[in-house]
Amino acid sequence: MASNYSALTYNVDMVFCIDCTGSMGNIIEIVKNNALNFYTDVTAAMDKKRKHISQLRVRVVAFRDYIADGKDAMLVTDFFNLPQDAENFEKCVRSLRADGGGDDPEDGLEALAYAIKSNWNTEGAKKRQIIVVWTDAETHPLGFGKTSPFYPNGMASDIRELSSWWGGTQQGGFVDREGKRLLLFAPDAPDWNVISQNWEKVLHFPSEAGKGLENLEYEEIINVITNSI
Amino acid sequence: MKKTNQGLSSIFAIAKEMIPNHGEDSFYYRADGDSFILASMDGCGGSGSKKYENYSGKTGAYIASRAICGGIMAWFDESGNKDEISDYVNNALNVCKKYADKSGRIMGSLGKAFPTTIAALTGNFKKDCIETTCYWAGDSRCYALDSAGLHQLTADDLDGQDAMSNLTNDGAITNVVNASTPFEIHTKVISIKQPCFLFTATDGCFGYLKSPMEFEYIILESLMKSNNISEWKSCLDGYFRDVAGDDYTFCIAACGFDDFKHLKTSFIQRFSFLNNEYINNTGDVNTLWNVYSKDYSIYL
Repeated sequence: MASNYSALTYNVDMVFCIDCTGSMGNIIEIVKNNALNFYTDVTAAMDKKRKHISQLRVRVVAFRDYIADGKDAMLVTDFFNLPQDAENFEKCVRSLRADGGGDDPEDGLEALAYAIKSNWNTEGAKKRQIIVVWTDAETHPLGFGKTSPFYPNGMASDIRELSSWWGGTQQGGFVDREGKRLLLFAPDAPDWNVISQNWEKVLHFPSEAGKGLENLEYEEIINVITNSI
Repeated sequence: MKKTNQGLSSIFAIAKEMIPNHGEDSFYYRADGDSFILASMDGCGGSGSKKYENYSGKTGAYIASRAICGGIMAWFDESGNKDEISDYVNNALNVCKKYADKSGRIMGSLGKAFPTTIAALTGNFKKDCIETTCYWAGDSRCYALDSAGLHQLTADDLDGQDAMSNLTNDGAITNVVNASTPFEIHTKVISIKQPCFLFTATDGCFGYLKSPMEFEYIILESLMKSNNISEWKSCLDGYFRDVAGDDYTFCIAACGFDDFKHLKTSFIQRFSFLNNEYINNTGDVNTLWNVYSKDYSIYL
């Protein structure tokens, strides 16, 4: 009836930061399956709501602990265009193994820093730049793993600098101010709770450290993402 | 169509859930003597996505829009005093909280308990005008439409610049009714001349179009295609259904029109002007908006 008034479409970038340390062993397969199903589940949920994604890209940041795991501490991929690159994305996610980690806290903040500095899609009228973090552990302070030869140069020096990378009301960061979203499936523990309490546009589903994320309802997570788009 | 009240020619709502039985909008309209109320609520699905077992697994957003709707109904029935609407809304929120299960809390700046927008307006017919009081929080809106065009009556609680930029920038809501953080229900009293339409709308009605001009256009184009209120309602619903990416709710009162013919003829000239100056104009849409926004924003 009103075909002249086409609805706006969305360009959506998602970065999945996945804790791949040993303690995630009992739930890593669930997290991997969730990550793999995100494309079809999110687009199906979006279609139900008549929201149309014109371009969806995902990338993976798998993290452990620089001191304990050295070169295996951080796996960072480029963006996969979905559905075209679905096969490669699946191969990448399926290859993730829960292993290592050393002490209880992990280098989740470094993973988040990689995610924030993604090569985001800046085109399109409506865009979403979504970071999803799955972990069952608190974080080391930034720079804890500096003595590792594999620790990256140019990393944020502390949580304050990382906060400025995310951006706030006063200053822009590396993520689109309107379109950014951070979904944390992480314990109510340092520094995730600092981020949850102080950063803009964050949804935090606290999980119990050591007990993993089993108690989170997948459908609810999909709803959060869909409604955040 | 006939007059049901002094000045009130017709009152109705158009509403649609994107997912049946999971819609997060709610609405209320009622005429009572020389006054009427229109109210549209939009439960915030992102921040209110927590599901409550005690509420049949419904989300906080779903519960909030309906509970607040109930609070506004009670307020209109029992009080109608503009200084008391917040009390009724807070009472409704307290009931939501009281019976909510405490598990599965959501934290973070985007997570709120029972968040919903409100856009409500009451109209009281005076001699030549309608004394209109608007109540709002969030990005749902109150509007007037008269022979000079569409006028947004309420300023969005968004961190965007204006109605045009809010369509594309999709800014975050800065104030919304909820049970977690302080909020404000803004009020504003405006005197509006008859004949006119007054209406409330959730963002599903206007937030997926490419400009505010298109919103006025689909209202008037659907009117011009119709021969009675029922046809207009159906036609406008079709337009919303075609473009909306969300639940949509639209409550409207037609004020000061003798009959449907009068209603329709009152806007023929405006429809033609809008068509020529804005819709069929191939100029830059932002330049057109700058001109259009002068009348559009006259009450802001």
